[in-house]
Amino acid sequence: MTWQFSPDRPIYLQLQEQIKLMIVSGRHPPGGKMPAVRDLAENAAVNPNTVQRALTELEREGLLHSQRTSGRYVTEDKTVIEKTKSELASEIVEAFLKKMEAIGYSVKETADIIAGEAEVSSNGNT
Amino acid sequence: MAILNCSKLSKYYGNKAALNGIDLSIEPGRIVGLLGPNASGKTTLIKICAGLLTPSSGEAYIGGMSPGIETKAVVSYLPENSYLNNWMKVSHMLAFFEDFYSDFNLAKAQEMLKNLGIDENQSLKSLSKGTKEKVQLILVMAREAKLYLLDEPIGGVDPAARDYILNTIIKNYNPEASVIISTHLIYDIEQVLDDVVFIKNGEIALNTPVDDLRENHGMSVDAYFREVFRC
Amino acid sequence: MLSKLMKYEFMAMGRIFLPLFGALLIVSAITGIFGLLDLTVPTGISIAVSIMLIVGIFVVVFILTIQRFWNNLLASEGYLTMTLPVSTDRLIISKLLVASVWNIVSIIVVVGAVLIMVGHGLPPLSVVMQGFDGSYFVTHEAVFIIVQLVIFLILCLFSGILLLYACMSLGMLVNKYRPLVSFGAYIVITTALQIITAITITVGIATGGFESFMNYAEGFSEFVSMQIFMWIAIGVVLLLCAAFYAITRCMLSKRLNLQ
Repeated sequence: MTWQFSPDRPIYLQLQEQIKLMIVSGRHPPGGKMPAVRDLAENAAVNPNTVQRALTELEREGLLHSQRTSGRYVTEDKTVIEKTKSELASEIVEAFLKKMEAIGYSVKETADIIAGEAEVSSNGNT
Repeated sequence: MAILNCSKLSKYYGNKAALNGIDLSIEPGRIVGLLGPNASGKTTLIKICAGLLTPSSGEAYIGGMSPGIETKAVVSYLPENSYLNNWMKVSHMLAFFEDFYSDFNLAKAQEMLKNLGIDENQSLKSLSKGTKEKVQLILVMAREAKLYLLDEPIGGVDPAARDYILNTIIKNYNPEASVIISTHLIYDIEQVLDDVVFIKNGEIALNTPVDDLRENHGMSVDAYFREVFRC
Repeated sequence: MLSKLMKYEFMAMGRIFLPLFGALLIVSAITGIFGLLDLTVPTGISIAVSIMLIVGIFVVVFILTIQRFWNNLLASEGYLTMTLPVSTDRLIISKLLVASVWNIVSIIVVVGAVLIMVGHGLPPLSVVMQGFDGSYFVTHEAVFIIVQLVIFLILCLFSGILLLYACMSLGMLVNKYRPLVSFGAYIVITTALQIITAITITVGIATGGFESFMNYAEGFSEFVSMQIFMWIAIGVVLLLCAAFYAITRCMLSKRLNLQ
């Protein structure tokens, strides 16, 4: 896993987002143990306090929970993960629609383009 | 309690001020970037904390004490230049640190040397400049100190060595200890920092957490630094 | 901590001295053998080499005494030495003691080498001892004076080394041209000492102070008057040592400015 940080936003936020992605994509499955702060920090080459902050935020969102002695775990509550997933999806779609709008497509036209593309790619697969 | 506390710290060379009334407080567990152009006073501040320079006025307290024997026992200082006795072997330096610093972790140092493929029996004279710098960094980071003062640790090293140095700093992170890294190469280092302290003409121009700066200004510390210090 | 400091100090100086001492002892042994065999030309050559080595040793003693202090405390290595958790006193004393030891050992080795070279020409020690009637040398008084003399000479050595240390640390008063300022300090201090000595002597003679002191001392036995002289001499040198030490200590602990 390579971590990418853009320079214009706080690193903890970016860490938070990227870890969130790993959870919804199943890289860190429900109930799975998260790596220790130190290891995450080393892996991402960022400050341990920043990692700590990102993880705390994720805990607040309910995606992680910590057990005092054994560390941090991904939540077993799949509904929380699903909810996060759909939130992420609408964020991505929203951003996408904005871009399409910028080049002159209405939401309806965009939907048509997507439907067309979907047909082409499913035909290609058969 | 703050690990480092400077109040109205000044240092004059003749009538030229290298530091002009610095007030600075650093809490345990922070990794702080001391940023500023060359000759802005970064090294002067670090040397005062290490006990190598006597301030002209004001005070620097480390763990509540003025620089002296007690503070030197808990401060691990990496100078900009090499201080290694050239005639010694790497193993001699290990023994030297083991002899004088009760917080020196020999096993850790040996492991770090092994990871970098540096042979302890080599004499320091035979090492390249870059390798010598790494040995020095290993000696400094293998101490379990309360305050690490790293003066330009990544100046003039290749990218691989730089990554190794940053990695070492992260790996050695200890919530009880603070690290101060002086550098003018901010871009390389900013993601390991908690806070940045900008020094300009011997005065503190800015002292803020990195994430706050990014949040408030929407740009990296590096970009912000370039803006602040644009001439 | 003092013993640890001294250990590294011995190592640092020993690695240069031991080979030199070894070379001198070997060459002087060869000289001695050539001399025994009456080989004029080789003897001459190896005597010349020995003399060069002897001069070399004394030069190296002087240079290393300076260099160990300058490089290890005031120049690049000072960044390590001066950040060690040890007191300034220990740093100065460790350097002083080890430099003194190497100074003394050098003298002993040189004397030894000379004895090796010309040893075969000298009468054996027992004959030398017979030359004295023995009465003077075994008295307690003589032993006492010899011990006193040794102490005096060691103190002289200390004051000489401490003078060098004081001058070097005075160089820290400025930010540029430190070696020059240190050298200047040396000239000023030694000149000042000479002037003080001259004034003391002049005043002593002019006021008749010396004469009355001599008259006073004549009232005692030879031993006691010698004692008075020795104690005064030791006192003066001790005072110099203390002054130079105080300068060095003050500069290193209160005015340290490594660049």
